[in-house]
Amino acid sequence: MLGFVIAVPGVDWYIKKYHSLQEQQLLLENHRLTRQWNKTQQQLQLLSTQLDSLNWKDDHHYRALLDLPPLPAEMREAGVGGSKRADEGNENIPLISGSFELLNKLNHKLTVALQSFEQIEEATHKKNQMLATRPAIQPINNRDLTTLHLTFGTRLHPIFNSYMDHKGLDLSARFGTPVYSTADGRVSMAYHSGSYGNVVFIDHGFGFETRYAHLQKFAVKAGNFVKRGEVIGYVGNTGISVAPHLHYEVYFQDKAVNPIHFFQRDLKPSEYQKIIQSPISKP
Amino acid sequence: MRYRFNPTTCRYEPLPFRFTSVIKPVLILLLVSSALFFTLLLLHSAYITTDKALVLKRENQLLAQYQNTITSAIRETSNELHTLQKKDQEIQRQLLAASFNSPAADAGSKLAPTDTSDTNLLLASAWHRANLLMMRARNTNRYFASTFQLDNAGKTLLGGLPTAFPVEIKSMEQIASGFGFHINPFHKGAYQHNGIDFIASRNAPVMATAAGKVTQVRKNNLPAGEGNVIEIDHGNGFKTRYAYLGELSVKSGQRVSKGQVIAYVGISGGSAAPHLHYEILNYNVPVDPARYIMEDLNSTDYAFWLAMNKRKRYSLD
Repeated sequence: MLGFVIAVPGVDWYIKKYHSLQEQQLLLENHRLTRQWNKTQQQLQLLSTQLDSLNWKDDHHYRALLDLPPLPAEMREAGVGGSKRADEGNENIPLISGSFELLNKLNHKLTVALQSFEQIEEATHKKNQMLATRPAIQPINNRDLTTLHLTFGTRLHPIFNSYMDHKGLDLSARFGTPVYSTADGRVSMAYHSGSYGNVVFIDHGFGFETRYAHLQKFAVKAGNFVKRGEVIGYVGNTGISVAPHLHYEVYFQDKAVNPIHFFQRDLKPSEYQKIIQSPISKP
Repeated sequence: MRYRFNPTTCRYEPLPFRFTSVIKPVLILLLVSSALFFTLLLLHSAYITTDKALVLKRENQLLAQYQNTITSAIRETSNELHTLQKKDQEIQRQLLAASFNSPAADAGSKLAPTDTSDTNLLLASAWHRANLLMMRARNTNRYFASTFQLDNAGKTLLGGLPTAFPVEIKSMEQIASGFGFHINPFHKGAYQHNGIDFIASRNAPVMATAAGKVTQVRKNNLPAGEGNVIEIDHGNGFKTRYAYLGELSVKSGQRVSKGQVIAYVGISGGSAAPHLHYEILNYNVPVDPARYIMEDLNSTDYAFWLAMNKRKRYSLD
């Protein structure tokens, strides 16, 4: 009897102070779960920081390099409008609702980032194409070159003996010296003309066209796609010409420009060999 | 008090007090009550579920239930992020021929001792060397303090040194390619690059890196060559050149002060992307601008800055 008198208030006091055994067990479990959820949230935050750093690079490096405007911040941070959430009805547990909110925000940002990267990939692809189609090398190897006549502009014509506008550069070389395409493009014309002789026109797109005249023979046909460094013909003396040479013209937006600007004259011979031996495939 | 009948004296005599006689019932009481306590406690938890327990139970249930959901969702998200990171690497490779973060990692690995077994020895020797260096530095400083005097000519020389950044730098990653051999973006061959290419978005302001006089302003619409160029003479043989510019805001012959906006970043000439090509010429010989730019950089940043400049990547022109 006396035992009860002591035990009952004891139990009551114990439960008030330290919770019942069941509660204790549940609390233990709760702590374990909470720890896991906290870890989950940390993980989410880590992912979020990683994504933010990617987004920063996207905005400040890639978009700058590709000449695209940075994505407005409100577009990146835009709210999650009315999407169905997996945690519906559990807002009373902040750990769950908070984590899901974080996750939703992250997912949304990720979607925006993925779309943005798609745009960047497309722009990169286009840019690489642009780079590949820009005339950038000499059409004749320096090793084979006898003289480079820097004669862009008005000069005395050797046959007509009068001052005439000369729209290209003359590169003297022996008969049969290979002539290389200076950039990727499509052969738009390859035919025999009275003045040009055997001539190849390459359309590079982006407003660029190159012409290779007085060829001995062709190595390509109209409609062919060529890579930079591919042989398109051989040096000859056809058309209005007094000696074997290549007449090289660069047109930008239908206007002849001085091709000397489109040579990389500081290119080392070994580098040039590398380019013409394996015409660059697109990266 | 307990008494006991003593037959010899025919008296009730008080027993001598014994501790055990008291402790026994108390112990029994304690034992019984504690047994009861535990039984009750067990019974309580077995049959009575408190409100608090109910709440906890529900919470635990939810926590456990959604744990799996969120874990798998996070796995999915991190997979997607991983894809994005791979794409990022690929784009870096395509745009700049290299990863952004490599030099710092290289620098770190060089500094770290390879073998940790003789760390103490290493530390001791480092300490010794540091002391020696400190002594030497003190002596050198004393020497310079007594011999070095900055006169007015010296001040103008220092003021005319192009030590500032020509564009606003948000991160060192903005250095696309430094001075030296780089890969041409058009034909991918290596060639000598005489300046630093800063990645900057179109229309970012370009600032004069030191006071001086604009000696050349050249505009060029041809998508080849250096495009729009500004050259500034700072005196003492120093000139700086800013190429591939967009809009220009100075005229030839104009005096400019340090930090003055002279132009805006563009994509003129044979550039592969909007950027600023910055050159420093000392008596018309191009020098490495990385060795001159040092403003707003502490020693750590400066080391990083030099490392960034050594990366061999695509140049942008």
